[in-house]
Amino acid sequence: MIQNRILLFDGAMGTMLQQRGLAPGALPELYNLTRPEVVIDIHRAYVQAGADIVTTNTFQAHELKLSGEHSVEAVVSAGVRCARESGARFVALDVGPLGQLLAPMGTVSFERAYEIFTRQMAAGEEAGADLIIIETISDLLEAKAAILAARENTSLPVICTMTFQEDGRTFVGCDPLTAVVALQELGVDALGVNCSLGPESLKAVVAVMLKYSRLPVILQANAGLPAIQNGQTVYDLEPEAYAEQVMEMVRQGARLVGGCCGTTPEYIRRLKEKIGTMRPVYTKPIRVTACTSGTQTVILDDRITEIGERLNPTGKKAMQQALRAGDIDFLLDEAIAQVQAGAQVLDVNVGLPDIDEPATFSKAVREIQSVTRAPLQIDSSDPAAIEAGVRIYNGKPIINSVNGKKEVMDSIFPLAKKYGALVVGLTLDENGIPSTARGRYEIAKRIRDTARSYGIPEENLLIDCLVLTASAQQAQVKETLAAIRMVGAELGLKTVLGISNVSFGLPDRELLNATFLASALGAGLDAAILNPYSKRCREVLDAGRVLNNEDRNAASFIARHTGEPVITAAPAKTDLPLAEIIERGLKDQAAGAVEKLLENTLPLDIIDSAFIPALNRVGKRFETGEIFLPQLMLSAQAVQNGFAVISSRMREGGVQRVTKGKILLATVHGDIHDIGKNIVKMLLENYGYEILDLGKDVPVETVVDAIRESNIRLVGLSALMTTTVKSMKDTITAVHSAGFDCTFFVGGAVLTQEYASYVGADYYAKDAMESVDIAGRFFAANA
Amino acid sequence: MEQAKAEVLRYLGYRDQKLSPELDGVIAECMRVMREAASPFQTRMTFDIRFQTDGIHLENTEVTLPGKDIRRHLDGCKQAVLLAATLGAAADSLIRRWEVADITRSLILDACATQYIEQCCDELEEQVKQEASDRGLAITSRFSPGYGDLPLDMQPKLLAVLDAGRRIGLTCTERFILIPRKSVTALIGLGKDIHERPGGCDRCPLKHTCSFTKGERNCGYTGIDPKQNSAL
Repeated sequence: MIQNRILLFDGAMGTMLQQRGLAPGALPELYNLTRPEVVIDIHRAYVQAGADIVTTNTFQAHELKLSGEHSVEAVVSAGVRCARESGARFVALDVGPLGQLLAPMGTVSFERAYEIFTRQMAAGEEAGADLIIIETISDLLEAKAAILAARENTSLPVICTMTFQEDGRTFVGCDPLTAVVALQELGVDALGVNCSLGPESLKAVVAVMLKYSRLPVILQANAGLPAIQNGQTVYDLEPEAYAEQVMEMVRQGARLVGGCCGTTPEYIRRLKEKIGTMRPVYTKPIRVTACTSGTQTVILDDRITEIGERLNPTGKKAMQQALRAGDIDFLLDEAIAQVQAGAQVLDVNVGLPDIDEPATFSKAVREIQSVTRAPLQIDSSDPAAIEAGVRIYNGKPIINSVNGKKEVMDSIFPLAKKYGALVVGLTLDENGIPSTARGRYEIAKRIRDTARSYGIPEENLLIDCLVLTASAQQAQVKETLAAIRMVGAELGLKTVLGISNVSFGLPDRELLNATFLASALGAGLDAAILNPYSKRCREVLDAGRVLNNEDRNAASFIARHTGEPVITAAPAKTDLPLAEIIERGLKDQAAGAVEKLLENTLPLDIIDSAFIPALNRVGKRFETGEIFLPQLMLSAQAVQNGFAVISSRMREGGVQRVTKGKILLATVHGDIHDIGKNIVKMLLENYGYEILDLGKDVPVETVVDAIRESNIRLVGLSALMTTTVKSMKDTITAVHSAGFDCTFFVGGAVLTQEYASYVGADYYAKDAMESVDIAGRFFAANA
Repeated sequence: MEQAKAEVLRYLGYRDQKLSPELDGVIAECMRVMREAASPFQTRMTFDIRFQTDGIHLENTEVTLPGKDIRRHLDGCKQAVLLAATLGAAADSLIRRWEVADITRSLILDACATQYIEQCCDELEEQVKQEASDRGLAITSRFSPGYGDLPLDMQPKLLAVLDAGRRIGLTCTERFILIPRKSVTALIGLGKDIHERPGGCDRCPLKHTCSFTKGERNCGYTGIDPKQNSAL
């Protein structure tokens, strides 16, 4: 049906209901139960106007909006019944956004969103809906939760539309290219655009979708722009003009059309007349190899893509320690720094034998995506960990990796297909890595053929022809380059390569890496996994992009390589004493000064004789109002940067870190603002305390469990809102009733001594410095 | 811009301390970056209001605003403008990203965002004032859920009336935190005879919990929303 006809959807429901007396802010969905005749009437008017498909009045018929009085099932099934009774040919179950944002932006977890959607959709299928339309979505991750809910719990066809503003992005920043690239891999039957703007303003968005979509594209625009007249919302586009503008896009290939806010049966009738017996215009979508985040797309065709390799614990003690301690900030730092250095995609590997890799992956993916827009490459050998990472991933990720082993392909390809990922295929199999280029080419071909049998198109494959070390298998390096040429030229597949391995075991690794990178680019390599901080590799990439005709007119190259060499962020040299650096908050000079001191001072002496006295003086000046918060923080950051040098020195020396005591910090459940808590954390760490930071929006049980596992005696809780102060009380009560004798200090914007007493806290910290005093007194008394 | 900067400093707890040129530069840069990143959206509707025993009813909606403070605020008004404004998700992301990379910068960006959303609201209020004055009416200052005894649980109801999720991408968590974070909902009363109440902490319904007064400072003028303030 969808293949050989232009299908006509109905127009607005809300607009029609408001014309018939629905008050602004009232739940339209309740009309299904309270005034079904009105709802049926509206559906019938659309059917009479010529709509093939009517959409149920169930936009937000889910458990977050329907509080108690009526069940989701009752409202949804009544909605389907109303649509059916109109005599419509097809009934589409309408599923709108949750009305609350998903984490990390909001507080609804991906799993919870999935459950809510599942309940609504299962009720719709049960009631007899013919298809599901997920619409007016801003966040790609929310679309994904809804699509997975539909595909895993119903057998109905699924259409998904997102809504774009005048700047061409959704409210949370998703652009149409990212939407089409990611959505079309998730197993929907059609995708497109609705709401927000009139058809004319959506032309550019629809054009992008038509250019890339292998699926039918749907357009349901508003009747122009809204204006308020006499307290009513009215739209400025007349039915005829609306239909004419929509038809322009039908002629370009849009295959499902209808209307959104402000449209009425008259709009649909005009559309119906114009469509008449017109056949769909079939487009020839461009097929590209692309990955995305929730807000950005990286297309690998015709350009050299740089994938940052640093988020990998192999051989990195600091990262191993961070992963074991659950210190996600370490990963976030590294993620941000790599993107700043130039990485376009980040490889993420959190594999350590003694951690829960799937759990760590889903947390790491969510948090890394909250601080960077770069797409991620989910790197693991454990299918469960890969699934945990790609399921919660916002966008179209890369999976690293499969190889020619049948067992591996059979476990990974279904995941790649289901979650719509790009997949890296390593050219090795049960017999190891072939020593010839031809052998690797053969495996690449087998990977391609197997992928195809799983329904994975070849543009979603990246072949890694594998680098062996020049120190151990020197003759093999050329085979890798030959294999890249063959795979590119003969199979037409994209190639990716981890560069750094080539130099393992040799001096001046950067030189070898950069030279090898240049050779690989010459062989046609599409994407390099490398260290983004390597200056030499950066130079090769800059030059390669000119020679590859990617950096047009060498504009970037000229900008970066003209005049004085760019000074990179090496620790600034300084002759100032450390104490002065700290007191003046010269945070970029602290690391250098500590390095210098370490030449003839013990690490612990630096902490006691330099850090703490300087901090105390700064703290005093803060208390007297001589300096204000940002200045205190700059000093604290200086100490933090100095501390990092000391920690790494101690780690290298195998010395256990000495701490003055362990403190748990959390921003309580329901509260998501944690700058305050993080400032407290930094200051306490400055003073030598070990902090177990549970982050923000932390459930009560998580705090109790952490206290149990880590033997915590002092806990700091933060809350910003009067509504979340209650969570503070719940947390403290739960800890005490679980039998733990913990001392609590609390702080946050609305907190006062009265509130602190009310929640049952032992101390109220009016600012971050005071928490240092509290910790000092506590550990002195309980040493 | 000087006034905007003074506001930013005020949110950061500044009391005429000596600023280094570096910090001064960072603040100026943060103000610029925040303005570039943010995408302010706003929406508003005007309602006739009715003073009922259970609160102020917005006619033609299911919303009634409870409590004595909003009643006092809208005293003498026949209509009220309900408005919502947000800086959008990108402002949140920017603050979040720097929270990891450089927490001081993040705090400053947060203050810049607070100043900017307040400025957006001021501009919106100015429009409302102009339109009111064309009709021979005066306006009250802004009053938001969380002020005085107007409960925060009004947020979802006010957002629903404005269809703010669809119109401007503004949502609210189960604990009534507005998301994107840098957002405001507020009511402005319209009437013939409005006596703007004097400012100052004594009259402020938030005097017991305000984070400014904790430091024995004050917010500077009436109508500021302390929830938008990120001071510790």
